[in-house]
Amino acid sequence: MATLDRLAPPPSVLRREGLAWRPRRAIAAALALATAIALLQVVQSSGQANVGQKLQRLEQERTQLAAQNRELEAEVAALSSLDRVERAAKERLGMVPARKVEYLSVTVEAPSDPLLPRPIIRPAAAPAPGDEPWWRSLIKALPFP
Amino acid sequence: MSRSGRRLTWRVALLALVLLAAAGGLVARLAYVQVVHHDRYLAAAQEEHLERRLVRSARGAILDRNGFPLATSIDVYDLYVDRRAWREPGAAQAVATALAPHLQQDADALHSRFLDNAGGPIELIDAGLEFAAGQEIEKLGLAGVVLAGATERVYPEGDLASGVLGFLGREHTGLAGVEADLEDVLGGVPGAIYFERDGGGNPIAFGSARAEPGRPGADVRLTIDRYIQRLVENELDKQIKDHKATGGTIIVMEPKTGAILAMASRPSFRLSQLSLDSPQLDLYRNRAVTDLYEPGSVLKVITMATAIDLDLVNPNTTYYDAGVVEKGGYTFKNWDFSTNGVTTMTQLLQKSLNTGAIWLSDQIGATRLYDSIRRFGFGESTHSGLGGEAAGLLRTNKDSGWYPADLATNSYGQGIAATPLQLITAISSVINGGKLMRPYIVQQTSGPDGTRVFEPVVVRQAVSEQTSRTMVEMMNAVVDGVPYHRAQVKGYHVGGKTGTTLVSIPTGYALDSTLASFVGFAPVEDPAFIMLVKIDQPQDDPLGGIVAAPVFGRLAPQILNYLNIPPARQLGQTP
Repeated sequence: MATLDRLAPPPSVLRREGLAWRPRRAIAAALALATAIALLQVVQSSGQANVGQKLQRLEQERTQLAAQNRELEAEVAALSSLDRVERAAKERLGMVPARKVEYLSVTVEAPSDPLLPRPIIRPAAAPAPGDEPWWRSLIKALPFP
Repeated sequence: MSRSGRRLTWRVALLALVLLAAAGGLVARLAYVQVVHHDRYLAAAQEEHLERRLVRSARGAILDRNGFPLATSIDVYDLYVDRRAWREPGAAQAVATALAPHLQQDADALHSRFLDNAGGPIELIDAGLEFAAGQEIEKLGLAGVVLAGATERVYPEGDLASGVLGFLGREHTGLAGVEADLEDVLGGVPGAIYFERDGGGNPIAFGSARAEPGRPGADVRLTIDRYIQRLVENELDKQIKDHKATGGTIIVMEPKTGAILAMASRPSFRLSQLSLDSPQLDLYRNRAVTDLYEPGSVLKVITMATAIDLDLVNPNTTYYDAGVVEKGGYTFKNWDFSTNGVTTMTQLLQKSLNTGAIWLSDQIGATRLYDSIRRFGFGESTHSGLGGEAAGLLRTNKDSGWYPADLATNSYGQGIAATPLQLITAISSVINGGKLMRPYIVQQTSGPDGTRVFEPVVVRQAVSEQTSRTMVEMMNAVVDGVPYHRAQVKGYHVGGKTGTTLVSIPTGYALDSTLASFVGFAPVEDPAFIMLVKIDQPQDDPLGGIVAAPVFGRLAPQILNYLNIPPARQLGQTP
């Protein structure tokens, strides 16, 4: 192995050859890097545009759904209005206003609330603290602006 | 180069100095603009290039006490046409043909309208277009057709509680009623869209844009119960028609809390017939809180409660009714010119004797009586939160222009003016344990900022609990103790007091027209509601006992039934 070592060029020579200025390689590397950066930016911009468009579409969809929801709520309210209920009771079911009210004593307690359909619009229930996913809590805990 | 060529002459030096100064000035100005006032100029530039458009936030709904919507908003579109976009012949016809089925209009009529540009190039064609129809039109992408998002107020219960709810103006802001009183809560905060615009003010494609979200309005839950409100309005309309009256008011309230369950006044406007083009301002006010009237004999309840609270009398105390009383140079008689001799306090209320009220006022004294009347809330606003509420008129012995005869008339409810809401609030305190409650109509608001619940507020203790219990018994005797009283309700013990007063006019009183009223409550054992009925200027009969009390008699059983309050006694028994 000692013979082979003697035939080999000294390490300092090898190092000099490795670091020798090769303009073509350097230019190619720079071009490759620039292309990669440009491509990355294009991909990023394209992705951002796609996400933006999707977001816009979803926002429009949400607006439409909210509008439809409000319209449906108003429709339900109109259908359950007292005038309509009375009309339906009289015309469709042939009912008449009670002329005589009879009271019967029963052992069951009277309901505490008036006997009415459930309210149509109820306030949205606030999410319980335990319902939040762990990652959202983590993001909130980080000192980001 | 010669010496003279290199020499710096004074002319060159001056020129260099001027140029240097000019350059320095420019640099200084640049620094002033770009550095010192950077923010100001940036804002000015942005204002020049950026357009800001407000986006109206969704308006909150108004619900009844059980959560049923009385007023809510839906999304609609306003459709405009911009005729400048139709440069080619036949463009207007094509747009008219495409739009006609969506607008449910005749295409030719629409085309004729498009050709008539007397109103300018841009015209509103359809306001309040249904949301679905607007979406379909938007998909068509018609040239010169502009759809602007808008909202429309809808009233699922029709005209119910019109006077309380009020209405919105063209800008979708409240102009009357709860809509106006709670504009800040219902209206929310509008959002804004910022975008880069060209010289014509149109958005630049691919320009920068930013949206600032608004805050939607909160839903307002009233204390009004739609069922009771409907009963009340139907009955009020019927009674006004039957007696050819000029108007009237009914209020139903929870005496323990001050929550207003129903409130109706006539004349008033109807939401379905409302026209902003021809406003009828006289109909828009809520007369139950804005209009004053002399309560008449209903006020004898206050005089009696004061005397009992001061321990001057009890229900069995007697006085001698001679039928006539002289006070301050004036002669006072009973409303029916009767003479009753020895009369108890309960009989005084049952027969509603003016001479008895005057006798009580003598026992109490002017200062103590007026102090008590004030404690019951007369002469000051109830602070219910309803717009335009009047404070009432009360002249006491400490005011100038007061005469001793005023004490006599005030004791039976003349010469003193109050709103119907003030009166029912005062009588509530007589029967609820003596607590003067603040009347309220909003029980809860629910919005993005959370839920706010309005609790009952005790203003002050007007009389003692013992006095209140005694008064409940006496007022029960006024109704159930008088045979064939028209406010009686089968199966229930009820209490109340009638009132009949002449209509005051600038020159005194109109002797041929009255305000007939009744304030009653039920059941006596634990009052669930108190009701004030006032019928203005009935043409066939002037008395509260004939015109107003029957309204209570018809409404009370229905309300008690609705509130699931069982009868106190078996039917068929005498009261």
